[in-house]
Amino acid sequence: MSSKGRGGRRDERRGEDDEQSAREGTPLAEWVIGAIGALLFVAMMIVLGHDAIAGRDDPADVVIEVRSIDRGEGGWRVRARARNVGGTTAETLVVRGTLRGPDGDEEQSSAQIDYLPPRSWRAVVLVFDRDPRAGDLDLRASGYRTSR
Amino acid sequence: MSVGASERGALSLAANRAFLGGLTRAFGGAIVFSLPILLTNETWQLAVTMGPVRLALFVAAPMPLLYGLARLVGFERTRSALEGVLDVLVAVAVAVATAASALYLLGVLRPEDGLVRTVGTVAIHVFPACLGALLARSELGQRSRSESDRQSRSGVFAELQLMAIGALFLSLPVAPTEEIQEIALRLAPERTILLALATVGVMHAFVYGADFAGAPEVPEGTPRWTLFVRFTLPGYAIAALVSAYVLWSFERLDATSPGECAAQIVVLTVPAAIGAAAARLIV
Repeated sequence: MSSKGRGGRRDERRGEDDEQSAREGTPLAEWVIGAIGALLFVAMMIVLGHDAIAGRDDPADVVIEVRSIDRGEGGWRVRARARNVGGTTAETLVVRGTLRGPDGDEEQSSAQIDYLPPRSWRAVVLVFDRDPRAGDLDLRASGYRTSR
Repeated sequence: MSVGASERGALSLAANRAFLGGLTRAFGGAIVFSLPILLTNETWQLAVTMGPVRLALFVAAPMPLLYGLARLVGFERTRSALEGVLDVLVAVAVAVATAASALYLLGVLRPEDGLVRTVGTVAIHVFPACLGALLARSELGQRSRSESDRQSRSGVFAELQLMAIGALFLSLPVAPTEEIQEIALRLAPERTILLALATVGVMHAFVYGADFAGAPEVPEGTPRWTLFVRFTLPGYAIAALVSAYVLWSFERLDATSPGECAAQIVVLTVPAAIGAAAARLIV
């Protein structure tokens, strides 16, 4: 656009009452967006600060909830959620499922989750040859790495 | 004065429209500056693995630097301290909006993640996006500089502040990657020292050797070597400090031997130092 014209006006404005005119010249839209920015910044600090104070010192604590069991072409699918109710992230978490049939046979299946942050969940699917509903199904987080 | 006031007042249509134009540029700048980080897997994981104290500090610590930058580059309007703060806050709003929407569209932000992780993931990207927003709003589109602008930007403190910003800008995208650790592990001590010396040399050549536009004005009769002592060495020191801080933030220095820490700092200081040297040319 007309950068020359703008520059000229800028130079005219530059005087003793610069500060005052600059404040007067602040458009309303800038105040509004600035206020939003302030709110966002404070909100971020509150969430992160609260997290810092409210202790992420307790180690990761992972619970597994079964969501559904159905038969797919590749086998029986157990959909589950691994939920971290602890305070730190679980890394390279292994979810292991053991299916004990009525005849005493055992079948195992496992899935790995790279990162499971605190108060978050990840979905996994464990696959079995036999119907898990007919036997005794045990799902657990068998182990994970933690940085703290 | 009454005519002037209505022309410049907060409700002036022209002023608001000009601001919105600047805001559009700010979004552009935020995307340009944060895209490399937005698309890096290691950065997403940082928000998950970083401790909350370091994460909060990581967001808050660069704000004074950004404020300093707003005062330095915001030559159009930023005459008062309040205007500088307002500039930074507008940049924060733009940065958060840019990072959050980009991360959502890229499938990084997921409903499975709790509030804290979502905020943390966005927070990691705030600094580079803010930097882009600030620079784009004040620089792109209107490039004319007057002599008084230049005067107000000179001074050793402003120079060092700029260097810190440049160092942060170029070291952030690579700091979370495995490569920094891997290079540090590969280097024998003598090669690490050589790398540090080479970095200082490149840094010195970058701004003072080449006659770029924007290079600091050299007073007549100043011996070249004093510039090396006055600017290049402090610049390298700042770049190294910034690197150490970033590596500490990203928990790369935890449970690591002092020698390995030093090697990582030297490696990350390569981009940091070049960023520091180039900052003077860009801003």
